Amino acid sequence: MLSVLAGPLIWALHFLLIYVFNGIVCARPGPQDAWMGIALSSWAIIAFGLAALAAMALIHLRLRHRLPQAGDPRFLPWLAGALSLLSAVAIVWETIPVLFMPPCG
Amino acid sequence: MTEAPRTFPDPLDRPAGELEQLRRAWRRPRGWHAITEVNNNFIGLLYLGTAMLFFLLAGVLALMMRTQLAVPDNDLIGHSLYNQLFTMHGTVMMFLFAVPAVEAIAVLLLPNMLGARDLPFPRLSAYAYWAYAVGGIVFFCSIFAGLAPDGGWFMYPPLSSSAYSPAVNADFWLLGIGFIEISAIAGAIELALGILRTRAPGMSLDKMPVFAWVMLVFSGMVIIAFPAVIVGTALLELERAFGLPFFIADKGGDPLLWQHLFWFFGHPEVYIIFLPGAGMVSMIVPAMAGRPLIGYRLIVLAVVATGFLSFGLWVHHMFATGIPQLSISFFSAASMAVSVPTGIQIFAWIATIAAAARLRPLKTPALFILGFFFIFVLGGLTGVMVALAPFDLQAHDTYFVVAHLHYVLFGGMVFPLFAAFYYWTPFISRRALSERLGRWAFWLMFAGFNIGFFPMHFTGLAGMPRRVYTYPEVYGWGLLNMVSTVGAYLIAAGVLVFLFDLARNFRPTNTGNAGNIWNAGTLEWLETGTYGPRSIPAISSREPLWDQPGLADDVEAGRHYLPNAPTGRRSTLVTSALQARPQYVLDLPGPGWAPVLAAVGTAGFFLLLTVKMTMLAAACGVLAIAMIWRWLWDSDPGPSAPVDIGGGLRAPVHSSGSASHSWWAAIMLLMVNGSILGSLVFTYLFLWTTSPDAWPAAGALPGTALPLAAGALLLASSAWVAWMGRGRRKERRPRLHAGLPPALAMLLASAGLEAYGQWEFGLRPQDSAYAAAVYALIGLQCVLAIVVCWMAVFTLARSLAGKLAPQRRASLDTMALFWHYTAAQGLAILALIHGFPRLPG
Repeated sequence: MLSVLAGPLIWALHFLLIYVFNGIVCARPGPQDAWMGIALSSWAIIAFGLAALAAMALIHLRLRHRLPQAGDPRFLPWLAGALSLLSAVAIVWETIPVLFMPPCG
Repeated sequence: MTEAPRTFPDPLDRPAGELEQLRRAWRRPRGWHAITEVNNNFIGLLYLGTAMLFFLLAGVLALMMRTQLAVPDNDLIGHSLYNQLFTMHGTVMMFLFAVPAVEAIAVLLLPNMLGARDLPFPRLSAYAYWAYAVGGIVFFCSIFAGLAPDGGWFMYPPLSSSAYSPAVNADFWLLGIGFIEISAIAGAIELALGILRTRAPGMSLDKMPVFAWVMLVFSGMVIIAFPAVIVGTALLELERAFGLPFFIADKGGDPLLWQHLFWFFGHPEVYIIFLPGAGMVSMIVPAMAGRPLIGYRLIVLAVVATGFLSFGLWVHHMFATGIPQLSISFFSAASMAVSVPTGIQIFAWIATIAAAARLRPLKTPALFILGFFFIFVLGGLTGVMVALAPFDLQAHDTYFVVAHLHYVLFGGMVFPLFAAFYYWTPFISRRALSERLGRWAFWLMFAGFNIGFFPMHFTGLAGMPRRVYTYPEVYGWGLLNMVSTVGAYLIAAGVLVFLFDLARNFRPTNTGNAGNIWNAGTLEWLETGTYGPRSIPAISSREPLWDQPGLADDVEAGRHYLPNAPTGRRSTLVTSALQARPQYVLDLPGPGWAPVLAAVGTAGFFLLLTVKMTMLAAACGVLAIAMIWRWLWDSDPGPSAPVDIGGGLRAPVHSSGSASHSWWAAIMLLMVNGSILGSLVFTYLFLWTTSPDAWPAAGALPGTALPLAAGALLLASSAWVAWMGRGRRKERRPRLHAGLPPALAMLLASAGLEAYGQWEFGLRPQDSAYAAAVYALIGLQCVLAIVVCWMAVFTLARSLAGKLAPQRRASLDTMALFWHYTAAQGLAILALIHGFPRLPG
């Protein structure tokens, strides 16, 4: 079952990571440089988002044909793919604000 | 399975006397022994009735508040009582009505929908119910003594800490609600296991009714979310009773910690309530429309996705607390993301209704569903508004939020629930409810709700804050409030009509119910007795009653699985989790006093502790533990010869190891433990981010010798237990008897060593938030070590009594699972306490 839930599980880890990361960045403010008008910590959040999307795509492509069967053989692969897609949309939406929001304040 | 499956239905006649044997096994105890019944139909109905009682009681509180607010400068109810009223209204509606009501419906309906005879742990549901009923009623009665909690249903510190709420009112909330959550978790584990392992043969995951999917996701959410509020209440109670400063800013604590823990539970809670409502809608819409649900796969996707995404929303209750803007944006984005799956469900229902084969004349359940659409969609739209942080800052803490949350909860849960009452009454009653009265109830409630709550959007935008007991006339909120009060009384009138209908037509029964008057397609509409269906059907469709002609007759004639009581006792069929292939026959316990008394003991323990009657509380605690021992003693009866399950098939009556239902339940309980640990680790790290000054420098920590020794003891005891449990074929009693006590000593010594080390180093739990967090982690480890200790004594006792054998080792397997988990948790805690402050930077 875990392989079917890979997408949302990665979403959960990613969400927790960016929230904790930004929380610590703001609670322990150090020197913060910016590149192209975006703080380095925010670049890190963008990188986390890309890494999560890549992990999701990779896992989906590798496990798609190895999922357990439950009735209709297409059911669980479809569910896993659709869940990954929805989780990917959530990750993209959660990453977009770094483009126009200061990390703290 | 011992033979290749023959096809069902099996045309051969069933042996004479089989039905009588089945009836005898499932016969209800009579007289005052009736309360010892554990069967899901009985417990489910009681559970639902109790939840409705709390709905009425909390509704009366709401009417009192609306009466007070009807006119400006009203002095009918003083501020002190008003504070108790709104706190109790929210608390009772959320904890004593909404969650129990949906669990109750599931306990009542799920086994029948899945074709099972009962849930896999009937005594656990009985225990969960009685603990909730006794505890809930006593908790509610606190309002008659003026002792009801008065800090809002979310009990924010510092208002709820001992400095500002010195009386026991808040303790009632913390201890009362804390343990009712335990009952909810027990119910969730029971339901999840029932859904995964007791489905009718052939009901693979893709043929499961949507309500079963929903309750599976519900259970997962309860297992992950509820521990957070249990931890929160435990920490606040530790602060109030013993001065551990988790939330006191002067000592490095932070009131925001409470909000995080509370809303990490509290937001998923909203979906925990809404999803079952949506699940009921997904069951009722196809029956009303006379066609299968459109977009079944999409709805399953939406339900599972909501289960996850709803955990990414908790901070949207905290937009006004000064959290960094970017962090708030993450939650704002997640709040938008969660509206996608909800939208998918709504469009699927609309499509099904649009393609309906039969819809008119509209029946009462359909009316309530249409009412749900209207109200819930409006609530969802205001939800998108308040998910936008700038707007939220404007509407925060005003009546706009009151309007929004009632539109979502009343629309998303109460309307589907009333649809469910009208829809499923023929399943549990001799007569259906009246269509004419149902229309009256619907229109009164629908009109009353909108007249009552729609104006609150404007009252809120006009600036009226929540939780004020009165307001001056000059603000001009009088008219809107008067309209709202009229609406509230209209809702009450609708509920009264419903009660009148119940009194006239509701005649509960298991045998001879009104039957499938809707011509619905799912299994709960098979003819049933106290034993559920006569035989457990083999399924090949999502709506078997529509697609498998003759199924109802074949089931009733006993031509499907398990048409008998092959062990002479109650039993049901366990199937595999994904494909639902028959695996073994599960011997179910019958009526008994142990669950009832254990529940009374548990409720007594927590409630007496609140009023500081320590000795009596301890006696209740002992009663609870003794009764739980009593009930576990009879379980795991061991293997017997394979029995006849119909169709010429024979199946084993037992299973052990990772295929057994008890193993799965233990794993779920460990997930609860994992969530508790996660909440405490979060507490430690969160307090570190907010008050670094309270954390010691790397040089100011206790030395590494004791923690290393404690870690080594954990590893050694775990390895020892693994070695003792090896060899499933041969019996090794001497090894177990000689080996368990020293292993236990090592486990307890490890926890004690760490506590001793910190204490000797001079750290006291009251010193700072750091010290409190450290001792809380150590305390959790001690609690688990004691639980494992209890399990080990139980296992030893069973072994001495000859109730432990290589094929009969559930207690040993469960103990070993908990043991290894406890050791791993201990190592993680040691690493955090001693490793984290030593990290550079």
